[in-house]
Formats: sequence, C-alpha cells, structure tokens
Amino acid sequence: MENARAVSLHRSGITGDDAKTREGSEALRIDPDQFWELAAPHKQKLYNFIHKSLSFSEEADDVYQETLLRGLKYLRSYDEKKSFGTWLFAIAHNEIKKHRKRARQGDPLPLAENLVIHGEPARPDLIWEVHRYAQALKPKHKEIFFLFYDSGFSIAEISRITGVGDGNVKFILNRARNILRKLLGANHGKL
Amino acid sequence: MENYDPFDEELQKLVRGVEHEIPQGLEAKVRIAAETLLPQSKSRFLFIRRPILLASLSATAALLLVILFILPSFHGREEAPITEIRTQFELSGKNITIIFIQRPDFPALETVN
Repeated sequence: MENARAVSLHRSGITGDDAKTREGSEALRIDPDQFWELAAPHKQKLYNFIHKSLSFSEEADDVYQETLLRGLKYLRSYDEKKSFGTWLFAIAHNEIKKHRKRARQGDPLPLAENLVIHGEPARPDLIWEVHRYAQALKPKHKEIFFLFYDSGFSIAEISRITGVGDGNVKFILNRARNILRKLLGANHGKL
Repeated sequence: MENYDPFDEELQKLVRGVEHEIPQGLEAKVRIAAETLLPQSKSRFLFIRRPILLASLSATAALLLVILFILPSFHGREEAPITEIRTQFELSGKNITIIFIQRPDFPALETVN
C-alpha cells in the first residue's frame, strides 16, 4: 500500500514538460521513476561539480554514482516546495565530504594534468590558471567556488547546500575573486 | 551575487571552460545500480512492515475477544423470564400423574386455599 502511494502521481495543475516548473509545484507528488526526470537537467552540472571538487580524481565517478543512488533512496525526504537541484547538490556535498574522510587515510587525491578544455577558448592559459588556483583551495572553499562559478548557484542556495552561512560564503567568494583578479592581472572585459 | 561584479562573468567562463561529459558507461552503470537498489528498498520495507501489520492484527483480535468475554460481566446476569409453571399431582395407588402447565396465554389460575 505504502509503495503504491509513493508511486501514485498527483499532477493537478501542472502543464508542460519543464522539470523546473514541476519542481516548484506544491501539487506534485514525486515517485522514484520521476527521480531521473527531475535529475536530468542537473546531472551534467552535478558531474562536473563533483569532478572539479575532487580535483578530477577517477573516484569522482563513484561519488557521482553514490550521489544519484542516495538521492533515489532518500527521495521521500525531498521537499517538493524546494529546489530539486539544491537538494541533489546537498547530497553531493555530503558524499564529497565522506569521500574526503576516506581518502584522507590513504593517498592524497591526484591533481589531474589532463584537463579537458571545453570548446576553443581565447585564453586556455587563463583557464589553467583559474583551475590551478581552485585546486589549491581548502576543500569546502573549493566546493563553494565551483558551486558559484561552475554550477551557477546563488549565495543563498550555496549556503543551503553546504551549511555555510551567507556571510561566510560571500567572504570566501570575495577573497577568491580578489586573488584571481590579481593573479590573472585582469580587468573586466580584457580577459 | 548581490553586489554584481562583471569579473564574475569572466571567471564563470574560465571555470566552465573545463567540462567533462558524463560517460555513457557510467550512465548505464548508475541505472543498473539503481534498479537493484529499488527492489531491495521495497522488500526491506515490506520485511519490516509485515510483522508490524500481523502483530497489530492479532493484538486487535485478542482485544476484541477479551471485550466480548468481559463485557457481559459488567452488565450483570439478567433473570430469565418465567415462560411456564408446571404443577404435578400423583394419584396414589392409581399410577396416574396429572400435570398442569400454566403459560402466559393461559387464563390465570386461581388458588383456592
């Protein structure tokens, strides 16, 4: 009975296929089959966030898999009124933290030397510089940096995902921005 | 960001300049793992719930039985209504027995002293 209840869908008042629209709907009751549908728009961002946060470690694939499986397993705990992306990335944040605890006992995570540069950027050397800087950040700072600049979350969302206060998130981002500005010797629009 | 800084846009482009596509193999692996995970969680759920359900059913049945047995004792025993009165005479030496049966529909017997 309980399973049947979970599987049942109540989509009253929801039109269109946009997962983001459905995320915000109060009338939506999700089921495990819908998990993939809801996760689909976030998967690529999630994969890159985990990879970048774990310094492109090969084990990042395992963390990605574990994040999705955890999400599926604990789907009942997801509050439909809140953003699915924030919820999923919060799971990823926990999985990354767990992975770091395990990895701390063994060898340090390797920093990949073969970054796959997307497209044909004007200044690949700057991309390298930014990523080299990010990889040297403290784990939590690195996550916040990538959540903002890679995944595109707002400060409030990052605060919810990581559990770090808004003020601290702003402080971490400001510091990173100022250091990178100096490091790259960049002025706006001249990169 | 509350205080918009145009440099953020440039940084965003640089950070997103490194991108990894999700390997097809990984997608398939996750799907397979998910399929094995779901039936497990369902069966585990039933495994936990079934004894609870059975225990609650038997407890309810036991409670009902107790109520059925105990409830009459609270009401007290009601006296059975008299449906008939029998009066029996034996005539000595004649081996004859006369029985009067008085029922509610009979006319009332008058006792003569």
